[in-house]
Amino acid sequence: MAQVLPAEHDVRRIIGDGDGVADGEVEGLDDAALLDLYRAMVLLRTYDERSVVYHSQGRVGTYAIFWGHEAIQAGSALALADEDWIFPSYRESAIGLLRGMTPETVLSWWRGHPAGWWNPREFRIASITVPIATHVPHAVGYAWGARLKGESACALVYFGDGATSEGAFHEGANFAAVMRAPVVLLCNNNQWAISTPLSAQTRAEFLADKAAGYGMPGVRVDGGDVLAVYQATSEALARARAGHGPTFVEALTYRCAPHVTADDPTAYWDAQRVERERENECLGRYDRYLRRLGVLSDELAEDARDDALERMKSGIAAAEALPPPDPEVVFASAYVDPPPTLREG
Amino acid sequence: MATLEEKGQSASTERLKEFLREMLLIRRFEEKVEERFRAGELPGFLHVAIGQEAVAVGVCRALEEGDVIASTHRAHGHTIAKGTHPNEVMAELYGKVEGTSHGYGGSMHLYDVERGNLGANAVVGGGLPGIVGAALAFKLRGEPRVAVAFFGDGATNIGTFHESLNLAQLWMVPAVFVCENNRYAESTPAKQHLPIEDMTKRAEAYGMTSMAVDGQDVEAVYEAARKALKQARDGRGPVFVVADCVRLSGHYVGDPQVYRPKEEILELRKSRDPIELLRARLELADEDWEEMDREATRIAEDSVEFAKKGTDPRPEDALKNVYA
Ligand SMILES: Cc1ncc(C[n+]2csc(CCOP(=O)(O)OP(=O)(O)O)c2C)c(N)n1
Ligand SMILES: [Mg+2]
Repeated sequence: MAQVLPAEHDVRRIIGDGDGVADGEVEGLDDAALLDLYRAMVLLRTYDERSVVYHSQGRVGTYAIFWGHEAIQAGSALALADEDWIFPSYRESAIGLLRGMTPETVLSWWRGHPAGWWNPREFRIASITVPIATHVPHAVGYAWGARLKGESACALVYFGDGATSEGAFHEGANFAAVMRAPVVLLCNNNQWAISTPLSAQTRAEFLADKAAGYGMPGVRVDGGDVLAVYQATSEALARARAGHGPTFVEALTYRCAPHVTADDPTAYWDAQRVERERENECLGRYDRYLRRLGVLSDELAEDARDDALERMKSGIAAAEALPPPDPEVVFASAYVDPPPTLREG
Repeated sequence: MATLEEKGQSASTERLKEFLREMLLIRRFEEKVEERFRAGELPGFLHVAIGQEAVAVGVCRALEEGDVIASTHRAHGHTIAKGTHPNEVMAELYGKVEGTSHGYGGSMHLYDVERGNLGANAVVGGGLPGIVGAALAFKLRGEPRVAVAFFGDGATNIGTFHESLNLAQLWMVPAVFVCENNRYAESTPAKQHLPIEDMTKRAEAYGMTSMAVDGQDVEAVYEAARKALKQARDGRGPVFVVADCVRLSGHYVGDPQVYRPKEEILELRKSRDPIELLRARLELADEDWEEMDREATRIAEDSVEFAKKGTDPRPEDALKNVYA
């Protein structure tokens, strides 16, 4: 049985502050790869900001904002191999954009249109899971299956800090450790579960310490540092692929947007803290880092932004051009043999 | 005149003798249960805790008036140790009105709320959330009481374990979680269901205090339980106690145990039987032991007589206690 190592408590960082803290680098990431990460973050940011606007215009339904979480999402998703699977929560609804899914599909999901129901196999991205933590066992099951079949694919599952209090998280994480399932448990610790702060969620000082209970490594990483997330995820994937089982990655951030568009966080959050966190948001940090390196120019940045905006424009136009769904579709995949009560109706 | 030390020793010797008496009673009771089950007299499905008596007795003897417990599917020992008369337990196994649950429950639903037993639980991990709730109530009412959950190693893999320990620590409620770590979950050995060797590591996930204790040593269990209960009662937070113990019987009565080498059980019976260990330690004279054994056997036999003479519940009462 593997020896239990205490979880790492130091928060891993790579991006410096342009002042006293020096910039680091990730081995193996060339300029093109650095720019891929940048474009991925810009695409996610643009998707998120446009979605909030579309929501206020009544063009998409209630939407789970992920502003400020782009470093966690892009950094981890780009560390994956094509064959690996992603198990998103509602917070990572647009993760498919990083695997060639169109904004039309994701926007359709939030519009409640069946065009948003992508085929998980096509993108190797499972359905968006709204019930907290129920997808952790799904990811573990997939990963274990892959291992049994002798495949090298891994799974990456995203969940929040609140999810770590759920029994489903415990059962999934425990099972992953017992079966040495090749899975990365990526906790987006944005310190809020709707209006419940982390301090009212658990008395454990660090979420990474949850890992000790399963005998798996736990690491903490700055969730605003796309490179640190990329590196931690890459290491976890390498472990998983080598047959050493799961890793728990706690990506620290602070949610400085409402939980979803239906939420009014001014009732419970600390406005000054939010202000500070916004100034230090992840895309700006990475943008400045790349400019310090001389990798990013105004032109490239503008190009990334324009491209993302263009995709959003055509995405929403395409989504809105779809014919309204047939109400029958609600029942279409529910039963092989619909019960008599349904057939009568 | 006896020195203070000698006095202390004899007090602890007396206490250990009491423990031995109670453990032996549970043993003889459960052997009777096995025998009567094999004779076809007991309905349902039964789990005995032969080999784990020291945990039930060590923990329950450390409790104070007003403390409560929740048990598991392996509940006879906890129930007797918490003060329910063997007659009532046996009557319940026979499905009689005189039983702890008036014959409606059976082995896995032994309740005795008056004596602070919040019940056996057929569902693995099912007792823990209720214990957190009871402990929260004690805390909110300012009562100096503690709630104790018994559960096995298999239960630590269940979501309710995680949710219960997390909330108990978060709210700092007076609860003690006693894991009877017999290293089997039914037929699954720990190495196939537990990702860690040292079970106390589980507590780190919640920032909870933990203790490991030899569950075959009733005195050690008693001392650990007293410490844990004191911490909980003083408002210093819950404790996770891991009692390493051995199941000297099958998972259920009639379990052929094909998953376990025969020699393992024989060896454990020789070297790790908590009753034999305590008997040897107390250096009891043969006649004292035999006297104790006769008494335990008599109580177990009487309980069968009592149960057989009991009243069958009436079919028309089947739904009586279903809805308030
Ligand atoms: C099982 C379940 N319980 C409750 C909810 C309601 N709910 C939706 S989001 C949420 C908070 C989750 O917080 P966290 O895990 O920290 O993720 P975050 O939203 O911060 O990304 C809750 C309680 C739910 N969707 N599912
Ligand atoms: Mg959160």
